[in-house]
Formats: sequence, C-alpha cells, structure tokens
Amino acid sequence: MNLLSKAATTLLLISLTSVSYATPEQDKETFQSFYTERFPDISKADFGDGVYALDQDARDQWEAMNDFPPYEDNLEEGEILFSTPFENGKNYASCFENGGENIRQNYPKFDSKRNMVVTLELAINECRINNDEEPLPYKKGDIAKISAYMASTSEGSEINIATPTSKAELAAYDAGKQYFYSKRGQLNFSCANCHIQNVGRKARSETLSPALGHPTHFPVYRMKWESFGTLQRRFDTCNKQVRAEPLPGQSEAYRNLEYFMTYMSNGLPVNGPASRK
Amino acid sequence: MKLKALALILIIGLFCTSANATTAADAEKSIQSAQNLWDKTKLAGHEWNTIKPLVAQAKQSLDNKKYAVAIELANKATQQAKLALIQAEHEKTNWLNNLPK
Amino acid sequence: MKVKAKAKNNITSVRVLAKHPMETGRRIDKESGEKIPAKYIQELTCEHEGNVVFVAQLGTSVSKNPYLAFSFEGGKKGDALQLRWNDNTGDVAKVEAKIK
Repeated sequence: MNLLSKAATTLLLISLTSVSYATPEQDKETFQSFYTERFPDISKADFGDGVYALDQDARDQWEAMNDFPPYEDNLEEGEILFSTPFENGKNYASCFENGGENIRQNYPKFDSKRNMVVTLELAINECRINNDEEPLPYKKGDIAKISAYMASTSEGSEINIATPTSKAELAAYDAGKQYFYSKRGQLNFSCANCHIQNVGRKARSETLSPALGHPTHFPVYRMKWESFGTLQRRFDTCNKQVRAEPLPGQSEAYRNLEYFMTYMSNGLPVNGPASRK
Repeated sequence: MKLKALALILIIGLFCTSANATTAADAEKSIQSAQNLWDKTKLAGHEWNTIKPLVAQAKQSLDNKKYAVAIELANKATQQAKLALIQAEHEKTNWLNNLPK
Repeated sequence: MKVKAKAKNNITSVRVLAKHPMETGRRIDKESGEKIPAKYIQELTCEHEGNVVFVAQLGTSVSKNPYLAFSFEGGKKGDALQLRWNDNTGDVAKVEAKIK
C-alpha cells in the first residue's frame, strides 16, 4: 500500500472512530434531526405516537379504538397494585421520590454506586425486595401494570434522562448505542435498519415506526398481547422477528439499550401507557 | 466352504456393528461441537434463535438412534453458530456504518 | 357494552364497544387439543323511541370485542337509546344510554 492510500485509510478510520466518540448530546441532536428532517410536517412531540404520526388512516382507526381505551381495566388494576401496602405496612411510594408520582420521565437512571443502569421496572422490584416481598416477573403482568400506572402520572412531562458524563455512564451508554446499531439474528438486521433507515416504509404489512419516541409511550397495551408489556417485552419481539434469541428481563444489554434509547428521546413528552396493534 | 462363508459373514457382521457404534459416537461428537459453538454465540451476544431447535432435534434423533439425521441437524446448528460468530466479529466495527448521517 | 352517543344538527352518532369473545368455533385449545365452541354475536341493534335505527348482522368474521360506530337521523340530547345484542348460544345483552 503506498503512502497516499495509507494516509487515506488512516483518515477514514479516524473519521469512523471519531463518530463513535461524539458526545451523547451530539448523538441526540443528530438522531432527532434525522427524523425532523425526514418528516418535516411532524412536530417533535408527536413522534411519541409512532406509526400513528406517520399514517393518517392508521391514526383514524387508533383514535377510534381509543374511544374506549382497551387498557382501562388493566390500568385500574395497576393503580390498585401501586397503592396497596406491603405486608410490612410500607408501600411503593416510600421507595421513590415524589411518592412515585410523576417520575417516569427520569428513568432509566445510572446508579454510580453500583455502576449499573436502573430502569423503572428494576426499581419497582428492588422496592419489593427491600420490603421483604417476592420480586415480580419482568416484561408483563403485574410489573407492567404498576409501571403503566406510574407512567400515567407523568402524562405530558418531558423525558429527562441525565446526560451520561462519567466514564461508567458513557460505557453503559456506548454499550446500548452499539447494541442498537449492530446487526443481529439470522435475518441480520439492526434496530437502526428498520427504525432509522427504513422508517415509514413497510415490513410486510406493517409500517416501521420511528425510534424517536419509542420509549415515551411504554408500557404499551398491545392488542396482540391483550395486556400491558414493558419496553423490554418489545425488545424480545424485535429480537425474535430477526431470529435472534431474546435476553432475560433486565439483563445488562437490555438495560443499557433502554438507557441509550430513552436518552435519544429526551425532550419528548411522556404519553404512556398507550395502545398499539 | 460353509465354514468360510460363515466366517466371512461373521467378520462383515463385526464391521457392521462397529460401524453403528462409531455413528452414535459421531453423532454425539457433532452435537457437542454444535453445543460448544452455540455457547460461544451466547458469550458474543449474538445468539440466533434458530440454533436451539436444531440442537434439540439433533438430540432427539440421537435418542431415536437416527444417527445420520442427528449428525445432519448438528451440522446445521454448527453452521448457524459459525455464521452468528462471523456476524458478531463483523459487527464490532460495522455497527458504525449504521449511524444516521 | 360501552356506549357513547352525541347529537349534532339532527344527526346522532353512536359508538359502541361490545365485550364478546366472538369465537369462530374453529380455534383449537392449546392445552386440551379440542375446538373451542363457537360463540359469536349474531345481531346487534339500536332503538330510539321505539324505532330500530341500526341493525348489524355480525358473525364469525368479526373479531373479539367488536367496536361499531354509526349514525342516524334524529335524536337529541337527553334521549334514551336501547342497544341489544344476541349471540348464537342464546345469550343477550342490553344496555341503555343517553344521548349527550
């Protein structure tokens, strides 16, 4: 290889690696402007409605369906579960700031003492364990109902994840970012392939939703599930759809991914729980 | 003459049984090698969900003494695992190409 | 059944969510291996001041918890509507709703 091609290769490698060393804030700007430029008629906040911001016919059907929100009963159960005290007399409110109300927008948080990302669902179970209660299974069921109730108290509050700055925070953020952009599964797709590059296009009969706004409306009541599901329940489905093996709930890779994804949607209002197909 | 024929049949029979025994061990070896590569994909964070059923079917075939089928399935699982590991290695740098511009 | 009805300019628009499994009779129960018996709404009607203003003949092609939206001429705020469905097993549900 002559000197010129060597120099060119080095320059290319530097430019590639320096992209990954953009700050999280720069990443967020690039990420969010990608969508606002691709869809200039949609306001940033509306991306929280996902495909229903992109497809008018689907939106009409969705709004009609929400005349009688399919998740009403489950949400009420969530409220009861949240308010019922534990055996020892304490309750969820005692574990969270502000009594657990209007805090959804601050999760996931980075716990610098334990060097790990803490999602809302993880915090709910830790609250249970600290009060001598059995932890709940992740992804669906009671934990999703409780999380859905808590999300409903944050309606309209803007997602406000603290910007990763410390070495440990950046490591978790970068791991989540790499997961998002890496191809996986036998079908060799990354999250980005569908939700960034092909956003608004169709995969079989379904329109691909924008990744911007994904975390704002979770837990989601999916008609297909006929129940609530957390963001990580949806990660499972996406993995299966590309023929990758799903991961256990609250595994490190999933928590880091949730950290990255939610930070990318900073500034968008919480609009969960929401119904989806 | 009859003795020779009998001896010949016995010797061939001996080779046949030892051929069967080798195939069972072969099947186990193939399954073990598939299992090892499968475990590597888990560590690499790129486990494909197509591998688990193939290994399970291979083990089932082994139980049913269908050794050739077991080996074929184990080899398929190995192939999938190898591709998954290639994906894992490639994506270590390739993921940067998926960033929004 | 959950019902919402609104009257405007002499047109009443009604939206109703009927809670019903709408089983076709062809689904197999994963545990027992048996077919789940058919149970589906055959007819859903809406009456206003003794007149039938809407009839829907549903059947096995309509999925679980049917949502219907329709409108009829007439009706004003405060009027009562009677909605009724009956299914193939003989079950009936009736609900009365007020136009808002």
